[in-house]
Amino acid sequence: MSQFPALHRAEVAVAERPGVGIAAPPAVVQGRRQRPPRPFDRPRFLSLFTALVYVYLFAPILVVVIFSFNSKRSTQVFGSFSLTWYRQLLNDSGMIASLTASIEIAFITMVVATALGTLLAFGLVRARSRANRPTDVLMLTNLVSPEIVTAIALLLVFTQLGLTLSLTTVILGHITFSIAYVTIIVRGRLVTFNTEVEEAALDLGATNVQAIRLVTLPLLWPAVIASALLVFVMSFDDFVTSYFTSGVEVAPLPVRIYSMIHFGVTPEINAVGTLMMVITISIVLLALAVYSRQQRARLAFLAE
Amino acid sequence: MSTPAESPTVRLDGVVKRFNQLTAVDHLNLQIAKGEFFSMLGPSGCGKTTTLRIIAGFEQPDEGGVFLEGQSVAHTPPYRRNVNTVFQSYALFEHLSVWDNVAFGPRRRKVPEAEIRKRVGEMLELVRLKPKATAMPRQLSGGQQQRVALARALVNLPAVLLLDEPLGALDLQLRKQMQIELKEIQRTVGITFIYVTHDQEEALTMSDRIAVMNEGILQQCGTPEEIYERPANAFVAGFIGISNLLPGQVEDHGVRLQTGQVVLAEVDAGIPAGTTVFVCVRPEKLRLGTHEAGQVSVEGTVVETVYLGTATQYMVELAPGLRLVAIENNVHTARTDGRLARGSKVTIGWLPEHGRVLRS
Repeated sequence: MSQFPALHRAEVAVAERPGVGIAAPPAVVQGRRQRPPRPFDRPRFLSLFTALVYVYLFAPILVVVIFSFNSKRSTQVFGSFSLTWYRQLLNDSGMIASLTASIEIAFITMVVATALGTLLAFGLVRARSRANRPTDVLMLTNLVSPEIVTAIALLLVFTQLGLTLSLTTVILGHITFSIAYVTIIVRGRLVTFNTEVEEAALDLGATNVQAIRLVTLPLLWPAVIASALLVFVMSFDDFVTSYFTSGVEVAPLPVRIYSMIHFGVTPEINAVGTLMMVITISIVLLALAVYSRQQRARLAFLAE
Repeated sequence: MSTPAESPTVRLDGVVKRFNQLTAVDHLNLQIAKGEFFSMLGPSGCGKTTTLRIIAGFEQPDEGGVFLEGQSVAHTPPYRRNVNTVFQSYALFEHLSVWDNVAFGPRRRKVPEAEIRKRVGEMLELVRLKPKATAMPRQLSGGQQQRVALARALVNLPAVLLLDEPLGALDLQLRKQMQIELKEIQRTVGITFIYVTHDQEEALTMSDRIAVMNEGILQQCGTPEEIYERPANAFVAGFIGISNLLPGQVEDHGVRLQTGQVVLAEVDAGIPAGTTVFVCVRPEKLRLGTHEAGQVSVEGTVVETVYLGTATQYMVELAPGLRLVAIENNVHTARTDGRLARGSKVTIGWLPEHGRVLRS
C-alpha cells in the first residue's frame, strides 16, 4: 500500500472524517466535500497514475534484468538465480563482436552527429543567411521521411558510389538521420539563449574563443549532452538503416538479434541488455559525480 | 599628448551609427571626466543604449571617433578595452557560482590567484554578498543578482563602468534603495559611471551630469539643475519633470500668447521677432491668487484639483485648450480649505526669469 501514497491518503481521510465532524460543524465538512473540482487542483490519484506510468515504462526492462539471471532457458518461468547466460555471452565471440561493433558505431555516430548537429543549430539560429529557411526545411524533411525510404536510398547511393558495405557505411547512414535530432534539441536551447551573456564574457576580457569555451558551451552542455545520449541510444538500437547498410563482415547487434530469431531467442539477449543498461547508467552517474566534485574542490577555500 | 588630468576619460567625436535606414546615433559629441557619474537619459529608441554599446565595443561607429583615456579605440575589441558593463538582464553566468562570476574578469586578465581571492573577497564585501559566494545566480533575488553583476564589473577596476538600465527589472522600493547604494559605491571606488536610463527621476537624483537624447541626437548636456531649470528645448522641458509649454510669438521684450496677452520673458538674442516659440514654466514656480510687483500674471479658471498630500496640483484653463499645471506646497501658510474649488477664477503669476523661451 505504501508505494501508492494516493490510495493511502484516501484511506486516512476516510478514517479521520468522524473526528473532523466532532471538531467542526458538519456543515463545514459538507461544504468542503461538495466544493466543485477546479481545473488546476492536484488530481486525487496523481501519485497512483504516476506510479502506473512508471510501471508501464520500466516493467519490461525489469523483466529483462530478472530473466537475465534465470537458470532456465524459459523467458516465462523463473528457475533459480544463475549467471549462466552471462557466461555464455562472454564465450559467444560472435555476439561480443556484434556488441562491440554496435558500441563503436553508436559512439562514432554520437561524436560526429553531435558536432555537426550543434554547428548546424548555431548556423540556423545565428547566421543571417538566405539559405537558413531551405536548410531548415531540408533538415526537417530528413526527420519526417520514413526510415525505410532513407535506408534504401542510402543503400542505392553507396552501391552507386561503389562503396563496399561495412561498418563505415552503417556509421555514415546513422549520422544522416541523427543530425536533425541534435539540431532540434540544441537549437531549442540556443533560441532562448541570452546573447548578452556572451557579450558579458567579452566585456570581462574573454576572447571570442574563450567566450565560447567558458560561457556558451557550458550553458549549452545540457542540451548537447542530452542530444548526444539520444543519438547514442538511437544509433545503438537502430535496425532498419543498419540492416540495409551493413555488409557481410560483422552484423550490428540489432541485426544479429533479428537473424537469431531463425534459431530461437535465448536468454543471452537478456544478459546483453542488462549489461548495456548497467554500462550506460554508470557512465551518466560517473559524469555527474566528477562534475559536482570539481565544483566543490574549486570553491573549497571559501569554506575556510 | 595631453596629461591624464586634462584629457577626459571618455570622448566621443561626431559619432554616427546607422542601422539600415535608421540613424540610431547622429553626430554625437560627448566628453566625460574622470570619476563622473554621467547619465544618458531619453525615451526608448533614442540611441542611448547604442552609444553605450559603442563605448563598450559591441558596435562599431559608422563615423566619428571614440577615445578612452585619450587613446582611440577604433580597432580595440571589447575584451581589450578598459571598460566594463552592467547589463540590463545582468547576464550572469548561470553555470558559475557568485564567486566564479566575480572572478571571471581577473582570471581572463591573468591576475595571480592570491590577488584574485583578495579582490573578489573585497568586492563581495562591498556589495554585501560575501555570505552568498558559493550560491548559484538562480538562488539569488533580483537585487542580489544585480549586485553580483555590479561586483563582477567593478572587480576589474575599469576606467569606466557602463550601466544599461541596471535597475529596470527591480520593483520601485528596491530601486530607490539600489539608487542610493549605487551612488555610494561610485563615490567609494571613484570610477567613472556612465548610466543609461529612461527614468528622469533616477537620472536627476544620481547624476553629476546628464545627457538628454532623442532620436539619436543629443538634446542637452548639463548638471541636473541646469537640465531642470534651464531646459534647452521643448523636448527636454517636456521629458524632465512637468512643464507648462505656452505657445506664442516673439515680440519686443516678450511673447504674445494665444490669448493675445503679451508676457514678459527673456528672449535669446538669436531668436527674431515673430518666431513661434513656447514659454516654459515649471508648475512649482507658479503662484496662485497673489499678485506681486514685477511678476507676470495671467487669468484662468480652475478645472481640476488633485490633492497630493504634501502638495496640491491645480489644472488651470487660460483659454479653451490652453491649460497650465500649478503645484502649491501645503505649507502652514497655505490655505487649508477648498478655496480654489473647480470653476473658480484665479490669477496665476510667475517671475519673468522663471519663464524660459524655447523654440518649438
